[in-house]
Amino acid sequence: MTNSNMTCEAFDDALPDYLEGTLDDSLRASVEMHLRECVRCAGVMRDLENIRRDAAALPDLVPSRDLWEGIEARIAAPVIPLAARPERRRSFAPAAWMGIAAAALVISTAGITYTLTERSLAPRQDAPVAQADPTARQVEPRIDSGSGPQPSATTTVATAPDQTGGNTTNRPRPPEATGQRLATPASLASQPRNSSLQPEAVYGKEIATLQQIISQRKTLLDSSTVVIIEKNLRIIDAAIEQSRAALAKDPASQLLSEQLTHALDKKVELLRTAARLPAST
Amino acid sequence: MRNEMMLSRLIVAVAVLAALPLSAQAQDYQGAQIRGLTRIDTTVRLDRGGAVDLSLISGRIRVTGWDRQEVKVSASIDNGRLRFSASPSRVSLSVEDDNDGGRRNRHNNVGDARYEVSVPRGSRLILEAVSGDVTASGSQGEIEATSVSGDVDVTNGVGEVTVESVSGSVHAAQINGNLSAQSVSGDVRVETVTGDVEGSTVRGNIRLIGVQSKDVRSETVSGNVVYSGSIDAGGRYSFESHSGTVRLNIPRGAGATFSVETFSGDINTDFPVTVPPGSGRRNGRMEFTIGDGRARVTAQTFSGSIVINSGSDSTTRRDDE
Repeated sequence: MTNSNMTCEAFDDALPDYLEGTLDDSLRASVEMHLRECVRCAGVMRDLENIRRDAAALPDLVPSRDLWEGIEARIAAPVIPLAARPERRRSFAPAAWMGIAAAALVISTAGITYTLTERSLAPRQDAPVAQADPTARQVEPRIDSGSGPQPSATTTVATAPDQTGGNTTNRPRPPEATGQRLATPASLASQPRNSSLQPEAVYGKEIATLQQIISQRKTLLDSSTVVIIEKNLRIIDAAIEQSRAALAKDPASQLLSEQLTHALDKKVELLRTAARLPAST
Repeated sequence: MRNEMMLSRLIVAVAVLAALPLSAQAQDYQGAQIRGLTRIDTTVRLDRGGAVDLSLISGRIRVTGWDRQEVKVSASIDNGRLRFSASPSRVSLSVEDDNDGGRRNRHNNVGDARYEVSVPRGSRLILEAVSGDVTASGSQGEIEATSVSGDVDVTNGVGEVTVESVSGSVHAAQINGNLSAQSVSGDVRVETVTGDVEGSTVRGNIRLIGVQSKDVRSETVSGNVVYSGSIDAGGRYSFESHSGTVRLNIPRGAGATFSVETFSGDINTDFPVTVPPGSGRRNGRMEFTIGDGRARVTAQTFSGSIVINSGSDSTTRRDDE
């Protein structure tokens, strides 16, 4: 949509600076005028404000049971004082807290993916985007369509439970046309704690959404860039798989839990980077 | 009558635009927005703390800081057109394409561009290349430098500095402020930073040398991590790799509590750590304290090793990669 002062693309460009309050007066006025006149961009802004508000209002997250005592007993490595030893602090968070913190982080930052989704999945006249395959949930959401064995990490991502009625991974028409919207981070945040705060489930939803964006943008990217992204995704997937396999043998391991979380985090980060790459790069 | 005046103005404007040269030299572009250039050599005034925003598709961006309160631009493009605009608070140069949509539109058939730009010290730099190297030195202001498939190299940044590349390496040196250095399949090299440091890559090595910081975070998946810098009281230092080696060169006088852990690698340190038999290395985890223990250092790898060396300073070790 275009109004007399600013296009939606110009609005998208200015949005980060607008949110940070660093726009000059004239551009800020143009953004605000555009917001008054453009339904699409006003919706984006409203969603971002909801995300910010909901993230700020997230309650203190409490694990279903206190795992710390058991974990502490299992990881009781000696602390050897080489000098005056400070009072021992409960310094390193238990694995459950790490997972919950990671999940909360994903929820609170999922707005980035949401914005990317809004930008990338909406049909554009100047940048043809493949329509989502109605059978998308049966299609491996990797960038490539390689025939080799897929890491189970990817498989898990592809089959992560869809808590929004399937709109996340299958979006044949823009929300304006269907009256539906993708799962917003706000809606993720309001989901039942015991289902949505499982780190892998939350990461899985985020990863699946991003992979769909990228698979649709694949033809717009330079083939060498796609190769690089795929190669690094495979490296991360291998790390995820190794961490997951080791964690299966030692579920109480804080190290393995953190390694898995870090690898998932890395994958989200890379997918976001890929989703934001300009066309023909 | 009013319509006739507007029509006249429109005709004049069109005539002026049509007469604009494709190559422009030393003209006063202050306050102007010029399109359709293949070459530009000009100098414009920029307010203190103003922004310089440069982007191109392929080629290179080279920015240097100088003591004049002006921006000097010398740029050309082989195939395609440049768009230049200047106001007292912002100078922009980008490549336009057929759709004239700026950097987010299609970039087909655009040739190499070369930007040589001098900026006032203290300017804020926003530098973006798709396929090309980006270098900036001496600007002494905030820097945001990114390239998709080129290397990024910045020195003398102040404040918030961000360097990013997808397939290239990133290098940042002499940064007085907070630094975020990220790549995907390239190396991350950081030298002499005073401020928070965040280094991240997937397939590359991370090398942080001469860092003076209270907050350092670095993570790679398949590369090595090297840190040589200060350990400040109350600071937080986190180093992670999945399959690479984590090597830390820690000043002897530092006070820190270490938590180091590897799933299948080794842990080695030359600090005089005494581990009671049968307990210290269980499950590849070791915790120990040096000095007052006020800083916290964590190092983790899945299959790599962790090496913690004591040193009297932040010297660079050549055997650590």
